[in-house]
Amino acid sequence: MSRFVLEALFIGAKEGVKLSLCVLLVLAYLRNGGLAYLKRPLAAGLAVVFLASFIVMTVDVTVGTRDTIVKMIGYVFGLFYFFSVGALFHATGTDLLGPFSGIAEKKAVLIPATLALTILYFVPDMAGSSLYVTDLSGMAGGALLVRAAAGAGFALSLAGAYLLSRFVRVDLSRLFGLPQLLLALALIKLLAGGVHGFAELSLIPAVQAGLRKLIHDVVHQTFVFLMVPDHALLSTTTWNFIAVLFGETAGLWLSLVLLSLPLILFIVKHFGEQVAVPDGISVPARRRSFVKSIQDQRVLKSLPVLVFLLCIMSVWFSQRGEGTSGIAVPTAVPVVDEGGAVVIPLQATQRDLRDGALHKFSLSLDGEAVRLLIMRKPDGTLATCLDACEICPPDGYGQAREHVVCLYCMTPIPFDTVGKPGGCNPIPLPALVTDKDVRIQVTDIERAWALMKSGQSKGGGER
Amino acid sequence: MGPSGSGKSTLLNILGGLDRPTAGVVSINGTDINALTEDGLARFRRETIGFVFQQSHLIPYLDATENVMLAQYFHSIPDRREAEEALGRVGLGRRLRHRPAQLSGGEQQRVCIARALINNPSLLLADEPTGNLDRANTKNILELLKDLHGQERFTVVVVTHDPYVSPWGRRIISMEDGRIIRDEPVRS
Repeated sequence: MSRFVLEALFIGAKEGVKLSLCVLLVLAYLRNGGLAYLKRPLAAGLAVVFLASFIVMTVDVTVGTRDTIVKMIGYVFGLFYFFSVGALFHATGTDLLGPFSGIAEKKAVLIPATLALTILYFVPDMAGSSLYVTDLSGMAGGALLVRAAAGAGFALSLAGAYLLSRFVRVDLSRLFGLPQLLLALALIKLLAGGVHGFAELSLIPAVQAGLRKLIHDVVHQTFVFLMVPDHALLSTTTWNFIAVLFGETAGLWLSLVLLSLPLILFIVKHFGEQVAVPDGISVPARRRSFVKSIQDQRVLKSLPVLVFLLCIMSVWFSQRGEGTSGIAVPTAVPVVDEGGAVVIPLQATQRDLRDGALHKFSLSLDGEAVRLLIMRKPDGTLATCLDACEICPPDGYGQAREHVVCLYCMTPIPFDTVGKPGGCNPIPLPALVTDKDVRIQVTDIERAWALMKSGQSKGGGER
Repeated sequence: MGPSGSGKSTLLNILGGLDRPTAGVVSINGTDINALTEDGLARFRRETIGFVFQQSHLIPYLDATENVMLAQYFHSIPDRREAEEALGRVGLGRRLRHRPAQLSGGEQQRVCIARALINNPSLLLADEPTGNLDRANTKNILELLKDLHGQERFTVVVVTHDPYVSPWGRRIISMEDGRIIRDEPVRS
């Protein structure tokens, strides 16, 4: 119980820190930009966010909604990222808005836009965390204490941020224009929880799975998401032929180019462009001073961009994982239903469930082979899960050096998150671990298997 | 003007914000420079004041143009063409690539004047600018200062103990033992 409470406390605190940081940055920007009237739509948006989180925590959410929330984290990141890059280029004098130039200065546009962006930005993360806390609470036997801990962590973070903002005054106005603010918001989202959802969208590929993964995740899934019917051009077979021409890791590198090139182009354009000195400044020393002041501003306003570039590359390299060659996939050992439960001895010939290796077992359910997964986690406890997640087809997991890997989408799962619910993690199964064996109720396996299958059915298409 | 030890250089250093006075107020163009922070004072010096000393203090491994560009760099950004034009105005248009050791004392002092004026100061402070020069070069430098003063409209304060130099100004303030003993206009 205490482990779940502590985890919920941290999740609440993390969401609180993220929310505080974003809101403080936005408020500073609004204050400096003379846009104080946008505080109200911001507050209204936050109210909607809190309401949505409350609803998610109290209502039984469907698998489809869960999946949408996870995907939204990545899509919203992408939205803010590409918004900010567009705004950066616009700020350098490139006319990207054409006849719509100046639209962002109209109250009638800014007020609903602020409300919509606030909701869009915070809802997926907050709702995702609420779902996670609900799952934790379920694992702890529906304990209210777990939810209360999450709320306490959240409140503590907000209180800390409020006190900090009262006593520490930092003027960030020289660093942040609107593009930098959008970029910072995208970065906060990426670093404080979006990485996983982001990886699932393949904007940062989880592993070097090559062009097949690019097709599936970027092309195919995007088209499925947009409800566009499948097309021969998008089929895996077609693109596998193309992959032969371009090499296996083309998708991986393409994603890096996709993410970093706009920022690099911005920096090159920003610094390469000559400063236009107003005609009124004729004294050479004054002209130089003017040019220097503009150059200093450019340097300051490029800092968030450089930080972002650095972070994106770090995340990209940390997430790309490894190829399938280093992944061990154990053979599933058949097990049977023994009076409503599956009983697996902790120790058997040539097998010890506590040796840190991945162990797989196979149970026949209505003619279907359902695989189970058991492994000892770094904290010494045993994780018992279905050998499948809620998102991908049940290809199962393999074991790499520092994580287990989904054999379908190649997403790496750290050892300590195995056994936790959600996203690409294997679906956890409640189990009774004694000195001699592990007992898993068949009804729990059936329920998890049904959850996995309902997750598969909603996506349709290539499975 | 005054004998050695009378406080001329100290006064100049205080006027230039290099030293802070123990009492009194230094107001330049309405700015009380004693009230400025170190950063503010540095900025004020950079944008308002030019210095010329008895020793040239040129960087020996940089040529004349680069020495002037160094002052531009600390002010804002270097501009080679502007630096070369400034050297042209002090009569060194044909000595642009010469290093200090390849220049005469008078030429070095001209580089110093170009360097002091490159950032368009409103006040030029010169401490014995002709102290190391012979009479002919002294005359050349003073004529140059007078011409530039007429063209570019900045205030020049020259510290000297040389009776030949003082009549080139419009006002002579004489000092002795740290006190002003006389303040009179120059009779033309």
